[in-house]
Formats: sequence, C-alpha cells, structure tokens
Amino acid sequence: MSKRILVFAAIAAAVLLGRAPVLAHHGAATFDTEGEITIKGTVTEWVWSNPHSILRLEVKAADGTVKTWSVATANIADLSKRGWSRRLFKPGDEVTVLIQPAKSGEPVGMIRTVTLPGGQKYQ
Amino acid sequence: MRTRVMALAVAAATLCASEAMAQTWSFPGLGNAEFNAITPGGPPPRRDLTGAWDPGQAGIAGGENYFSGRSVAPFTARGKEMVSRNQPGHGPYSAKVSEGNDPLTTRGDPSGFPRIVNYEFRPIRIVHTPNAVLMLYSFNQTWRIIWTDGRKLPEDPDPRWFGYSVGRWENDTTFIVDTVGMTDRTWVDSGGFPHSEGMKVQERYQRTGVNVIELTVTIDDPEIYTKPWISRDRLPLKRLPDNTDFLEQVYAASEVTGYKEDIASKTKTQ
Repeated sequence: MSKRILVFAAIAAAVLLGRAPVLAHHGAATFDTEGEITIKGTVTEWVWSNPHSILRLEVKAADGTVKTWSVATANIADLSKRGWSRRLFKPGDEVTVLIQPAKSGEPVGMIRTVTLPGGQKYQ
Repeated sequence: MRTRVMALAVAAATLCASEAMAQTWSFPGLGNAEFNAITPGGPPPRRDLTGAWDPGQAGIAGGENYFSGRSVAPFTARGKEMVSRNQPGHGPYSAKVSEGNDPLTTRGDPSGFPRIVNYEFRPIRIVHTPNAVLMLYSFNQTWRIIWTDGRKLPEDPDPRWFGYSVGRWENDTTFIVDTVGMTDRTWVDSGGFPHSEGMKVQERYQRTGVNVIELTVTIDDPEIYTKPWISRDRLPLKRLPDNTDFLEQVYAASEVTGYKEDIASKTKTQ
C-alpha cells in the first residue's frame, strides 16, 4: 500500500510542479510553413478545441492597417499537460506570438510560443 | 521521537498529495517523466484488469516503427488501391494538411476500432462485470463491450464502427480479445492504413504487475495485407489512482471542420 501511495505521490508532485512540454502529435511536418515570425496583437478569440485550439488576434501593421490572424496549437489534452487552459487568454489581451506562418501568405500559422504582457511564456 | 513525528508528517503529506491528485477533475494524462516513473510494482492480481490506465505518449501518437510503416505488412493489390485514396496527416503517406481527408480529424467520424487503440489512445477505465469487460475510453468519450459470457463472434455481422468483441482469459494474467465486423469507413490508424470489413483483430492484455498492463494488437486482413501484422507491440498501460477523473476530449465534427475551414484550407499553396 505504501509503495502505491508513493507512486501516486510522485505523480501528484509532478502535477503540482508542472509538466515537461510534450511535442504536439500533429506536427508541422505536413503544414506548409516557412520559417518563424513574431506577431504582436490583441486577442479577439481563444477557441479551446480539438484537434487544434485556435488563437485569433488583431495585428496592426506599420501602415496602420489591421489584419486578423488565426493561429493554431495543439489539442486540449496536450495543452492541459503543458499548463494551458480554456481561460488562458481573453479578448483584449495583448500577446506576442512566435509562429510558423503558412507559405500560402494567408494570415494563418502554427504557434510556437505565446508570451503574455507579464512575460509568462507558453509553448 | 522527533524522527517519528517527521516520518508521520511526511506520510500524511504524501497521502494528502495522492488524494488531492486522485480527486482532481479532468486529468489530461501523464507527462513522460511521470509515466516513466511508474514501475510494475508487485505481482499482478488474478484475472483482473480493473482500474484507470494511461497508455502515455506512445499511446497517443503510435510507435516510431509504426508510423514509419516498417512494421506494417505489404499491401495486396486491393490494399494498394485503398491506401491510394487516403490523405493522412502522419506516416509514410502523409499529405499536406490542406489536402487531408482523415475521417476522424477532418470530418469528426468516430475513431472506430482498432484505431481507438492505435492513435489518440488516451487514458482508459476498465470495468469488469459478471458477463463482460467494459473499456471506457477518455478519447472521444467512447466505450466498447467485450463479452465474456462464452458467446461466439457473429458469422456475417453488419459492420459497426467498433465491431463485435469477445474476450477470454488465456491464463491468470493474459486477457485475449477477438474482434470482427468493423466498417471499412475507418482507418487502422492515423497513417491512413486501410482495412476491409473482413478484418480480424486480436488484442492481448498482459498484466505484468500491479501497475502495468502490456497491450499487443494484431491485424489480420488478407484482403488488404499479405500477412498479419502487429500494430501495438507490448504497449505499456500504467495505472492511475482508481478515482481519477479524465479530461473530456471529444473531436466534435463542428470543431474539426472549423479547424479545416479556418486554418488547414488556407495553407494551400499554388
């Protein structure tokens, strides 16, 4: 019994101390991307869903025009393991997002990291 | 005395931690370090798979050999024709995401069996009843009934997403499940490997300790593959506290088609 408790305690400790990132099982290998870019903008929607969650944000260009980007990340189980949640972002949040943009030129891409104004980084 | 008090305090904290973890809602599954830390423990109980189990990262994504296609048997002519239609997101037949036609991840179809144990095999609860073993999958909140009441498999079944299953104990630690009658609308895995409705699948659940079950899955489908092949080779399932509440991870059709429309279709290059 005590051994079993210790095993579960080890699991509990790991849960409490945070989890190592797990590679997304839907890798970007078949997502036709090109390099990495950083976009900064204002969150308009955070879609907590499967097989990919989607962050939408308005990004203002140097000429003042605003473009809405939709950038995807992993499924909710893998994100939960990495400390993300349904309530992580809300409309109006200012975020900095490192993405792999699609080669198509459309404002879509895969998220590498998201940094909140306080400096907290999620990957 | 002081040492004993300290030991008791540590034990109490340990118990609280384990109960706190067990009573957490929506547990998403073990991280790699936690998974690897769980050892077989003591000798397995007799003829019992009861409990909450986690197949870990390998359960989610499939083994390296599997997705490379090296362990899959050669196709028959019919198998070659069927696989040529599939545009999967993984493995040797991977297509660009804008062209994917995976029934699960682009249309929201059920995983079906055996895909439910070959891809996105997330935490599972196994329940024994007097005449069946129930497999309750956290992925897509779905289930199978493995009949253990001695019935025979149907001879000419109407195809179902999850087929028809019967189970028996080969010995005190090995539970064998035979399944037939799966619709050919599903893939065997996320690599686009097809199957016919004549496919037979055998699962072998080997309880190697209190905390571990090893699962081996054999695919036998002579219409599509020239010989039987193993899609899971002693995949370890690690034990979770019995009262772990699982995350609800459903691939709803509205969500998967939303991703396809909002992101995947816009990645297409000329």
